[in-house]
Amino acid sequence: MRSIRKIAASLAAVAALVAACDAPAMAPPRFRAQGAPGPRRGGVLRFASYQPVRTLDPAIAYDEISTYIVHPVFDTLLGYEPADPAVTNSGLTLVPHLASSYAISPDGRTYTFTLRDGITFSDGQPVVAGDFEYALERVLARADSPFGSFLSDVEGAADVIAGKSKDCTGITAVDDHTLVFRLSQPYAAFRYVLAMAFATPLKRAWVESVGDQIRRRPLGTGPFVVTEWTEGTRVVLRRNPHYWDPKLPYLDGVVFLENIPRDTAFLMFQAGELDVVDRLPAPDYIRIAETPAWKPYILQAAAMNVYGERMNTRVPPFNDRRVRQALNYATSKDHTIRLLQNGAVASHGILPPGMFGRDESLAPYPYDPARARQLLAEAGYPDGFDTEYVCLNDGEAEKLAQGLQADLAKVGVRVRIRLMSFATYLTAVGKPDGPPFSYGSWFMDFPDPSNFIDTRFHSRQIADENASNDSFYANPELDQLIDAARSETDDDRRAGLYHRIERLLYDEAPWIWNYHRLFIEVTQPYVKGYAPHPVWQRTYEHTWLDVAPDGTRPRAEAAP
Amino acid sequence: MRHARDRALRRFAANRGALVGAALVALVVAIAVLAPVIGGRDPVAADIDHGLTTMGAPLPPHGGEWLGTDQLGRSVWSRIAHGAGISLLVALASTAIALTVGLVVGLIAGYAGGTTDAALMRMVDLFLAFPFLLLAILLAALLRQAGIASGTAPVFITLGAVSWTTMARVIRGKVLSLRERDFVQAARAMGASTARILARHLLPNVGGVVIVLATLGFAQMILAESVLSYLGLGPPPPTPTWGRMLYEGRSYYQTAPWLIAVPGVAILITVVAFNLLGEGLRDAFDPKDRR
Repeated sequence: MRSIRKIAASLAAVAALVAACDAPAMAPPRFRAQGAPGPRRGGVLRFASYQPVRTLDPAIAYDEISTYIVHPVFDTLLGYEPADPAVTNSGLTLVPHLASSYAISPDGRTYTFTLRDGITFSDGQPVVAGDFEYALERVLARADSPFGSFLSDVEGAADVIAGKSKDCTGITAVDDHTLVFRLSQPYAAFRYVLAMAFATPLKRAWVESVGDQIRRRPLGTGPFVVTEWTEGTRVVLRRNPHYWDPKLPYLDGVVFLENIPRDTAFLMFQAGELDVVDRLPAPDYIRIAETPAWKPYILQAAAMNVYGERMNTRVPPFNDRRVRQALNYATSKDHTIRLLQNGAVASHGILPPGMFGRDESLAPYPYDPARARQLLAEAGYPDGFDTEYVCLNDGEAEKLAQGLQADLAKVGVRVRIRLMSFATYLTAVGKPDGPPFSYGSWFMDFPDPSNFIDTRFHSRQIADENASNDSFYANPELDQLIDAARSETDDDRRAGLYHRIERLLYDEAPWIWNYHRLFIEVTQPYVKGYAPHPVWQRTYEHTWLDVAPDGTRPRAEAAP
Repeated sequence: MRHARDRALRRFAANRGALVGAALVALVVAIAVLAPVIGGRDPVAADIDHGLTTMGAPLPPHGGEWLGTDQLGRSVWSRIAHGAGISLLVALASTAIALTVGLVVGLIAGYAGGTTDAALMRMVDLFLAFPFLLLAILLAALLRQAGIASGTAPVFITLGAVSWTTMARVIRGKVLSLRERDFVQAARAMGASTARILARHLLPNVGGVVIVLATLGFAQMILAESVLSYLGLGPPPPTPTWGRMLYEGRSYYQTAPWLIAVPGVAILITVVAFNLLGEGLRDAFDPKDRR
């Protein structure tokens, strides 16, 4: 039997291969920085994303990938300071962009903005206050814009949303340089809303002339302009010569590749075909993090998000606060963080570290299985219970779910894992009779606690479909605190209210408070002035390439 | 009959490939049966504190864990050993389903002939028109979605439901030739009922074919189970199936190659073992077919 020998030989070969393939170390960077003393103009920054850009219409683009392009193309009245990886919580402070100054009336209801002199669109047309009014009324009037509700405190906004009026009475262009907003009640986070990309000025004539093509042919005010978008393949940006800050941007352009799987992107980065890479698969992150030569080029940004396990607080056994607390004690945050390659920090509530109003004196629930068992017994579950936990069908989500399953098993809670796609999951958890126990997360739109707390825990957000309060937690005391904090104009008093809210949510535990994820990106050594931004994730305004004068990326010396 | 069987056994014993296959099958079965004893740690118990590096990376094979740990700090050896039982049970259950359906359809079609045969065989053609895996993926996803069955059940129901067609065809062919043989004609002439002819005369005579088909099918089922698990359509986590181990370990192919090498080799050995055994049995039962 010759075939037997062949099979035996191939088995031996496989065994030899297994024995031989010890984890290979990561190669050091292939490139180095040229060593220029200061920012240098020119060059094109290349990066990739595992998902496509959906639209470039600022009234529609809400997903993070589209925002990567919409943000650099459309500037706003206020922007954020650049992030500095060396400073914790940097990047959250608002700075004037298209506005040169602004004033808020003492009652907190009137906002008056003065536009910067001489600002223009990327085709050279001047920007006037009316362009803001037009763009914001367009957002309100469009049923398919997800942003209308952010303006709900503006006088007359509800009428435009309802289609009763075309003119929003609370938004007035007093003259070409002055824009006034009147609110029906004070809204402390309103300034942040105006820093969202949808609040960018648009030229009515342009929007009307391009029609449906607005999603592909933007005319904006940002540091870059779109020169090419081959949908699903790549977006090419070029420097906007009319940008209001003549020093910026340093780059000539940006090339953004779409639909590149994460592991492929990492291989391209290693080969020098990309300048920045993010969302590293866990094994690749481990390799690069354990290679000292790469250490200076691994960048982290504050974790402006929250991940945990949401529970439907109306459904047994999760309707019992002691059960919810028990699950919080039974979940080891240390385990979760280790499973995330230390790329996360433990949470005590929904507000991420560095957020205004976060009570930094609260510590996460300690890992205390004994206390958990005791609470379960008090709640009438001395032997635990059986339940189903829904997570996304993604390798990392499944890993974390199995970690949670193992933790909860230790206190007698027997969890079956059910996997769902993201779309199915979103629909399912927004219904009162949907899965009662699942993964939950929230990503920040702007750095204000109202963006987290109002959205996820006010009883107003409970609905039969697409409820954003998907723990269906209703508490009149909490509602009252949330409403008071939303319109409070004194920062100290407002922070005090959020501290009370944080403590209440900590005790009531509508979620298993688990962790805040860090954004981790790796750059080539010659990429300077770049850091993942806590709000935008990506900004390229201050980025420059420290490469040879002719633009060649300098090679590192061969390793000895 | 006894004489023929002895001859088959002798032929089998003289076939080295068949013996190697049988030995490997015995080894896999022994591991599956003894898993609770020899497997060591609980296969689903994550050990994040001790089974991972401080960076959360799996531990390579070492003294305590001779096959290393996986991405949750679980024992790879324990999961392989316990996974053997699951793989074998799924293969057994799906083969049993495929065999039962295939046997019934094949016997009826072959013996009845005519319109019944034509109708049943067109149904088989209909099933065969779909690629095996595509149909399996569709069915597994539907069963999971509908929540009709849980655990390993959707997997073996799916595999049984998509693989009975081959059995039915081969058995029909065999019966077609058998029903014209003298002993069947004689039984019919003596007034034996159809049921009796099927059960007492035809069934025993397709036995050899059935055993060969089942053994070869078994190997295919093990492979198909791992494919479904690899696509996330197998038993839900943390069930230690070999396919799921491959699926969960795939992104670690550079940093922790044992996570895919170990289950991969386990699948390879088991499939080869059942194929060798099946081929040996075929040669033993049907020496004319020998290559």
